Amino acid sequence: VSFAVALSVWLVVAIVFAVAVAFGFRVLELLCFEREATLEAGLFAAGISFPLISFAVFGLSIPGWLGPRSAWALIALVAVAAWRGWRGFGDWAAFELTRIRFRLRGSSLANRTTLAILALTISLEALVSLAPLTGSDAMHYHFTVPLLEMGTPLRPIFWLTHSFLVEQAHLLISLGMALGDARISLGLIFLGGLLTAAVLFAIARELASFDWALVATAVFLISPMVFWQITTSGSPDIWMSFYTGLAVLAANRGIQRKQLKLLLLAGFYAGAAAGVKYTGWVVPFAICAYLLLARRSLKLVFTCSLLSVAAGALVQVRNLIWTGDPFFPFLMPRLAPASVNAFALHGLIVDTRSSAYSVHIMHLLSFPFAMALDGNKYGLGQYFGPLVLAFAPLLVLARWKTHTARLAGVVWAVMLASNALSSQMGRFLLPAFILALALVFSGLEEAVRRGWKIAGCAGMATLVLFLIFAGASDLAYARDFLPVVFGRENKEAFLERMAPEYRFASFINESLASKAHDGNGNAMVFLRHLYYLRVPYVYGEPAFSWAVDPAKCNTPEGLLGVLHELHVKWVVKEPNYPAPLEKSFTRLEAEQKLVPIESSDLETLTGTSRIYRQSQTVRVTVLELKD
Amino acid sequence: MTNPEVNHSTLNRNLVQFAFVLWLLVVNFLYYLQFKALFMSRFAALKHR
Repeated sequence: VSFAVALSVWLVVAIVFAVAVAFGFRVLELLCFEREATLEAGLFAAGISFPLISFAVFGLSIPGWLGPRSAWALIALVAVAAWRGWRGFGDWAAFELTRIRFRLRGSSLANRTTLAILALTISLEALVSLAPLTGSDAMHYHFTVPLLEMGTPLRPIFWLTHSFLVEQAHLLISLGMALGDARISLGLIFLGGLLTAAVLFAIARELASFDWALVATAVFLISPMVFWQITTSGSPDIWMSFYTGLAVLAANRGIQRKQLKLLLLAGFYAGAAAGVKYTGWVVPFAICAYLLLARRSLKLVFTCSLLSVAAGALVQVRNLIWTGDPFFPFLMPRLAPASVNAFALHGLIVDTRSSAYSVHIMHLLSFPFAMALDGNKYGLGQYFGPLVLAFAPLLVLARWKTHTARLAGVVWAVMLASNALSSQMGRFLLPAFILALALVFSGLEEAVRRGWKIAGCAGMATLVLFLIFAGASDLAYARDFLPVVFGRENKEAFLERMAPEYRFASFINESLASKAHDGNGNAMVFLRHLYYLRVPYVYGEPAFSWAVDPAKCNTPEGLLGVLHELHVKWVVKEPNYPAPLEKSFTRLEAEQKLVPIESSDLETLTGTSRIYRQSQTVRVTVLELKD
Repeated sequence: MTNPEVNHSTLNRNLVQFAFVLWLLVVNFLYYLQFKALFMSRFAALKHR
């Protein structure tokens, strides 16, 4: 990646950000909100326009019109529609810059140290986010599905069950790709991280002093979870954190100022959070529950819920039209039992639950502790760091008299409970992380203010220890990505080293390049990481492919029927077939209906995570289906 | 002259603080312990290199 490429990626991301904020200011003006130049106002503006831009991208995707021209035309159109919003954006940017300069001038040593940590962390994250895509889930579906949909009319992809989990925040990945490159998509995810950090700062500022709010923000950005999520993971989940924080901020302001429109805005943001992931629907639920308690108005809560649905149910409507199940495939056993692929449903449920999942009462009670202290079993919860758990006893000292603290507490508690009951996946709690940090640092500051010297010193030691650990971990992690970013390693060599199964994809591309053309037939593959495949393919792993039902493939004839339905001409095994299909495929090979045409021994990363650097050599064989 | 009520409250406050310090020690120890396998694999890779 040359410096020019890096600059162009950042420039595009900056343009999208500026256009979004300006347009957001214009929308807020049209909705009769007072114009303010506060950090919060800018965040509200961004939070209202990104979902609207996503809707427009979705509209372009339906007929297959999304491409470079339409994407740039969309950005230009939004920039023009922003009109007077540009003045609001200018005032806001100038005010924020002045405020930062003012703060820098009179800041203490501790404050300057925190700012230096923040600046270094953000710079490192900005660089690492420029590396080519290597995130495992992103190569399976977050980036793969937008790539498959690019330039073709929107249609369900039943051979990739995860494609139904591609939601509204993924439309920003599509937008980035259409604007020129997947690295712009990664840049937009990084932007989501920065916006979330700003929202955390705004929430923490309501509960603590400037200095402590800054520390909470630094802890958020330096934590390995956030570092990974906003740089290399390629997952758009961070946008859920942004919208969740905005919902809390808007609801708090609405209650404080007794302004109905701010409360309705909170409903919109909560809906936008729900639009990022199925599990996000807990956010509008928690916000509406709090508003019901605080305002005791069913009418208000009903209107708020309606706005949430309008802002976040786009994908539910899409899935309902395609499959009859808005939360496909999780409600299929109830809504359409005859169409259930029990094996694929089970596969997806297992995939979205932690390995230690259990609803035994003692297990549920131990989950908040185990998630941080034994994170490998609980969806990588350890990467959040130990501070939330460590400072949890200080929550009693947080500013509970404020609506901000109560709102944050309710949303955090509801998210934690829903996570414990449904998946016990630590990393799905990313949106609650900002709320938890704001609350525990409010408690720590209060302990220090009360003169609890021993507790304060021990708390500071824990904080410094984590900052050193997280900083060193982030640096060690970044080391693998920086050579390609600085142009010292070429993209191909980097991907071979860091992208799981990249060599498999390259081998398949080379083997079938001359044979497979559009309409000529598909290759059925079983490798999980599909993003770098450049030949027509379908995914055949029955656990994650709704179209490949083992119940229909238990005989060679049944399997042949499914292969013909999916226009499969080639099959790639590495080294074996998936267990439920093994027998039928082996019979097809014995009957010479499936003939090997090429094979190679290739090295790939293995194990649960590439940071353990385990690799193995696997024989990959391409077979041709004979008519 | 010392006020017994003040002493009592100071004692309670110190006890609470020591309990908190103990809690921090346990959480920190258990938290960093779980990275042992990762450190070992990284160290082994470094040695291999």
